[in-house]
Amino acid sequence: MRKILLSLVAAVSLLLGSGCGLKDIDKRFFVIVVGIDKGDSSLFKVTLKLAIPSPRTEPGEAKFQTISQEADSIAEAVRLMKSKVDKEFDFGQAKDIVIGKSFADTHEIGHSLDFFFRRRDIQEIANVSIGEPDAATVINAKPLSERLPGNSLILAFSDEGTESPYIIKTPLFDYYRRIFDLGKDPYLPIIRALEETFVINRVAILKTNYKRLELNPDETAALNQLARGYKRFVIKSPPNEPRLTFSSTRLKSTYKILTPKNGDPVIRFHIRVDVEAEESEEKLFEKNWHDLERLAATQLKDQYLELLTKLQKHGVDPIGFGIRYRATRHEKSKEYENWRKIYPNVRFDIRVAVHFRGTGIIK
Amino acid sequence: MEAKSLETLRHSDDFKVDTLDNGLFQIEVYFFSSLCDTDTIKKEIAHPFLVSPSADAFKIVLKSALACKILENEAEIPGALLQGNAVIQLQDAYYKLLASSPANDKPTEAVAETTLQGPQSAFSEDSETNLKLIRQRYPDPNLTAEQYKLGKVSRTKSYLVYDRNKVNRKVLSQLQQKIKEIDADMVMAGGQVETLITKTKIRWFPIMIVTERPDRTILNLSQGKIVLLIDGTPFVLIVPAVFYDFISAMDDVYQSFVVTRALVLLRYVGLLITMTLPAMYVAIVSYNPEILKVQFTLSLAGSRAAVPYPSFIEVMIMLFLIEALVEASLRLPRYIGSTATTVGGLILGQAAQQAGLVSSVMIIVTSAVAISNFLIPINAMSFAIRMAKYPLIFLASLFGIAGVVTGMFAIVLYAANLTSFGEPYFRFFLKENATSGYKEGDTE
Repeated sequence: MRKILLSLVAAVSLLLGSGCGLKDIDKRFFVIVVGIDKGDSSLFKVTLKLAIPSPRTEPGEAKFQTISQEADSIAEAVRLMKSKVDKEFDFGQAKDIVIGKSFADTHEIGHSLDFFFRRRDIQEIANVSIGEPDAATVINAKPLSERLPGNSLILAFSDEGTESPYIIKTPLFDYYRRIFDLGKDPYLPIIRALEETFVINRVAILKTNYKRLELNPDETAALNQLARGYKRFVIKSPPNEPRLTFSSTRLKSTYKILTPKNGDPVIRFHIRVDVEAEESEEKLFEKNWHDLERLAATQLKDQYLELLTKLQKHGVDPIGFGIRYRATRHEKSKEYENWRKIYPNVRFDIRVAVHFRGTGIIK
Repeated sequence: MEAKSLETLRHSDDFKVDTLDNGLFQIEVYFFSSLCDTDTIKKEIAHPFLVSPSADAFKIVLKSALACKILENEAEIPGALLQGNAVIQLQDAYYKLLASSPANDKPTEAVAETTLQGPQSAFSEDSETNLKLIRQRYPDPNLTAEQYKLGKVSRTKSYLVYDRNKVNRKVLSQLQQKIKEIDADMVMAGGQVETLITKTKIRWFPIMIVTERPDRTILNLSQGKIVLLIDGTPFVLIVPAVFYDFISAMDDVYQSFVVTRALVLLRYVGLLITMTLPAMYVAIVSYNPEILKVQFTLSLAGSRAAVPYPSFIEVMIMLFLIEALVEASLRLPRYIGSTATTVGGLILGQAAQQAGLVSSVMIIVTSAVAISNFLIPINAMSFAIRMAKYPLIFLASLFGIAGVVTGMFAIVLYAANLTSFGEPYFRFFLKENATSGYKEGDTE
């Protein structure tokens, strides 16, 4: 009995001593966004967006604090920043990693993020993006609708809030995989900070951890459709035709890499899209729907071809043709080498089948 | 000549010694006015006595009367008197006549275990009446009742009731043996008997059902279980039991299949919540806030901002208050009870949070824990589960979520290791009909 009592007392006193693991939620500073910029004197300038929790959350009342530190490594910067705050940093809710544009344009990105790949408390669900003009500006932007700090960025990338064909998200794990996989290149969305909101409608494509090119919004949407099967987008009629806009409700895209013995290598896309009319200057119901389908198909085909050719020209492969090639061929260790020879000469054969589902209006 | 053994009884004023004389011969009648029904004594003794022509004729009357026996030994007299017999002395011979006035033989209303649409009455406090209630509802010649006297002083009358055809013989002989071995002065209630016949002192989960409902009792009898009726309590003890029995309410039999299963599921969810929620709160707040969504994490941090103490102290304060409230409203007379809950509820709900003693999320956790605890239909299990959350909180404050998971695992291991009279405890059914009676498979 005495033994039990003694061990109980010991246990309780251990509890009151509270070891290193126990740190209450209100003694932690939650880092929501991490920004990495080019430092003035050192390699990095790390900016952290720290949420200040409050019991009441009102739109526009999101309170946060940002702190910056220059250092030659991210870990060092974080250590130095710890002395600037009163609570322990908690990266467990770090949902966004923003890389400043000036840094992304000039520096190698993949291994610079090594800190985030290794830290156990940084969630693997963080999204990586490029911030314009720099990460600190993105972090300091204060959207009017925000109830919680960083919430609008989190919502934009999580499909819970806005759903836009122009937003491509890159989770940290996906980014990591694309860095190391041969034949699938990483891409990063570009966030442009305005005073009270963000614009996320472009994407940057990387090759060997360096930024290669930026896509414009339309190309970004096309990439979103081809690489991620994003099914809600709009198709506009050509400029000289009457104004007509389709919205898609379904998208199915498959492709095959064909390397015939005698002939050029071909990547053949089969894309099936269901569309509805969303906006039109003319009455559509009496028109020939096949014409409309053909119109949309041509538009899409041109758009995709333009994008794929551009990617090919820059030697980048965000869709992952290379990895498909490696998966479907058996050429021992030479698969990737062969693919690199093939890719610049490959011809794209895009077959789009558009199905017009309705005019959107009851006759 | 009065028996010597009666001398100690003479000190009590409710001990009556009446000398009756009809002009021909005399008898002495001894009885406790508090224990005996005077009407019975008049009817059975006084009237025949008045018309009896001789002592021998009266002897025949006594012998023919039911439940009238000669006491061979004078020493038996006090015992017979204390059990509600009247003792008649006729020419140096002692006869005992059962004339006890039943204490409380009206079936009480079910209070501890209510159903919405089932029978509303519970057992009475008289074991004979209870046996009658059972026999009425279970008219089967195989229903056997064995009488025992429990307790060295109390000599509490109790009946072991079972269906001779369906009972598990091994369980029966074990139980009979254990009941005979009971070594206590006073035996008052079923739960106490359970404690007395369990070997280990540290007993956590109940392995016998204590119920006040005749319908549950006969249902279990028909499933081959054994029922122990104890005089003086409206609760009976049912042996053996499995974990599932404690999660099933009698309403499960009276409702439709889908409703029943949904309710059972609800109870298991409640069981899980009441056990783990406080521990999970500690673990999440102090160790693993990353498992929540960021939006909730921040409001949780915000609500805790005013609380200076670590989370486990906060949890202990709140749980102490709520347990005290539950206990107090249980023990208090009904009229004061409502005051306690109102005052306690107001304080717990509002003031503690405003004073910065606990966070508002903790208030929700506490209420969820308290309410889901009441989902468990059998009180003994509900008490046991109430205790289960504390070791989990302890583990959570040392090891976080890993501690909670380990603790739950340990509890499951403990329950799986339990047996109820040699039968595995942690299972759904003891090869019996399902409570609903609809289930196929488990029967022969």
